[in-house]
Amino acid sequence: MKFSNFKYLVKQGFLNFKENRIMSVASIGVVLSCLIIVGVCGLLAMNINSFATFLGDQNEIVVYLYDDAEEAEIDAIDDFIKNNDNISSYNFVSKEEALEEQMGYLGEYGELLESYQGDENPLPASFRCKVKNLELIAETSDAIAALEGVEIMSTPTELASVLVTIKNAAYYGGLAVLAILIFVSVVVISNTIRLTVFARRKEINIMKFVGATNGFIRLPFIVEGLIIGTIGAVLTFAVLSGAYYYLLSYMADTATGWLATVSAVLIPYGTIWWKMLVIFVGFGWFIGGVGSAVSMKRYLKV
Amino acid sequence: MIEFKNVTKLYKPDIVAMDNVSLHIDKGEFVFVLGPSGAGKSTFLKLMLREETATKGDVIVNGYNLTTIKQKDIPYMRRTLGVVFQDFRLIPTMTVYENIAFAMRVTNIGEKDIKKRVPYILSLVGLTSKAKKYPTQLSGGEQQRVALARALVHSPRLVIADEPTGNIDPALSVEIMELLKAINSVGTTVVVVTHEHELAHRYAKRIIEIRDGRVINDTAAKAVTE
Repeated sequence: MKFSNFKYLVKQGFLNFKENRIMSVASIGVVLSCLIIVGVCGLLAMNINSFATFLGDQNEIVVYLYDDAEEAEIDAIDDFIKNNDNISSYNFVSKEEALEEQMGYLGEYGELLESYQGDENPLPASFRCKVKNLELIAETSDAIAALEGVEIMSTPTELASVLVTIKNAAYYGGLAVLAILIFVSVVVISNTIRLTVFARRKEINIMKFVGATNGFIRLPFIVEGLIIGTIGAVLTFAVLSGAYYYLLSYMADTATGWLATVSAVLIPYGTIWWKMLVIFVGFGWFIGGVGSAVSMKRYLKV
Repeated sequence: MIEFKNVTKLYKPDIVAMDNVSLHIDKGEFVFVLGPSGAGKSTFLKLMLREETATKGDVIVNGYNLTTIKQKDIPYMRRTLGVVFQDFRLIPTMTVYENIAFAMRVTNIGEKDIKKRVPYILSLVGLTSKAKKYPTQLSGGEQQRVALARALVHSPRLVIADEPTGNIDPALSVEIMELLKAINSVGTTVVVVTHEHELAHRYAKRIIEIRDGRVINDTAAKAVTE
C-alpha cells in the first residue's frame, strides 16, 4: 500500500472517531471501566505476591551440624549448599559465633553464658540458607539432611506451603479475572463498533464493488478502535496512578504496627508506573483493535 | 473479455434465473443487453460482478474465471471494470471529488496521480463546479455522471452501465449515451444493460436479447445508418 493511501485511511479513522462522538465516548467508557477493574486486580495480585515474597525471604533453612563432624564433611556440605540451585545465599555460623549471638540477645545478662565458652559450648555449628523457590523447600531440605555430618534441620515447611498457596491463588486468580474481563471488553467494544459499522454498511458495500480489499476497508475502523483503546488506557492510567500514589502516601503517613510493615513492602509507585502504562495501552489496543476487526467480519462478505 | 459458457443460475427453491446461457463479448465492443424486467438482466449483472456465482457453467470476465476465483482475488477482478449502477451507489458521506478519488485510492494509486486525474475526469463529465458538493445535493443526472466518472477514473478495460436511462429524464439520457459512445471509441468495451427497446435500437450496435433466462436474439452491430 502506498504511504499516501495509508495516511488517508488513518486520517479517515480519526475523522470517523470524531463523527461518531457519542459512540466513541461510550466505547471509551467501557474500556475505562474494564481496565480499571483489570488494573485494581492486577495491582492487588502484584502486591500480594510481593508481600508473600517478602515473608518468604524471612524464612531460612538452618542446617545444624554434629559437634564431631569432620572438617571434610563440613566442606562437603558447604560445597553442596553452594552448588544447590534453590539456595540464593547462605552463611556458616560456627559454635563460637552461635554462642556470641545468644549472648548478644541476652544483652547485659550475656555474661551468664560466658562459662559455656570453649569446650563446654552446647550450641551446634550451623549453615543458614535462604531459599529461592519456596515450593521446593522440602526437597532441598531433604537433600541436605541426607548428607554426612548433618545432625538436624530446621525447615519452615508449613509456613512455606501457606505462602506458596497465597502466591499461586493471587497469580491464577488474577489471570482468571483478567481473561474474563478482556473477553467482556472485546464483546462490548465490538458491539459498540458494530453499530457504527452497521450505520455504514451501505458504504462498505459500495467500497467492495469498486474493488476495495477487506484490509483497505477495515483499516479506518481499526484505527478508530485503537484510538478508543488508547484514550481509555491513558485515562485508566491517570485514575489508577492517582489512586495508587495516594494510597501509598496515606499508608506511609498513618500506618502503625503491622500495617506499617505491609506499607513498607508495597511496590513503590516509581517502579510500577511504566509497567501499568505499557500494560494498559497494550490491553487498550488489543481490546479496541480486536473489537473492530470482529465487528466488521460479516459486512465484508460480498 | 466477457464469456458465458453454459451458465445456469438457480435460486432456491425452484427459480431458474439463467438457463444454459452461452455468449461472448469481445474487446472493444459496444453491446446492449436487452430484456424486460424479470428476464435475467440483474442476474447477468450480478454474475459478472461476482455478487452471485453460477450454479453451473463458467463466467469469465477480463481473464478471471468467476466460478473458481479465490475470495482474495475478487477485489482485483472488480478493479478491471467500471460499473455505473442504476441507483448510482455513491458514498453519501463523501464529496463528489472524494467519491471519484476513492475508486483510485482503492487501486493503490498515489495521492499525486489522484490530484491530477480526478479534476480531468470531472471536466470530462462536466462536473468541475460540483467537486465539493455531496451526492444528496445533486440532481439525478448529475449523480449519474459522478457514477460514470467513478467508473472511468481508473481507466478500466470494461465499463458496464445498468439501466443508464432509468432514473433520469430523456434529454440527459442522450448525453450519457454519448459519453459511453465516446469512451467506446477509444477502445473500452461497453455493456449497457437496459429494458428499453427503443434505446437499444436507436444505436446501430450489437443487441443481446434475454428473456426467461435465455438468449433469444443476438444481432450483430449494423452498418452505420446515421
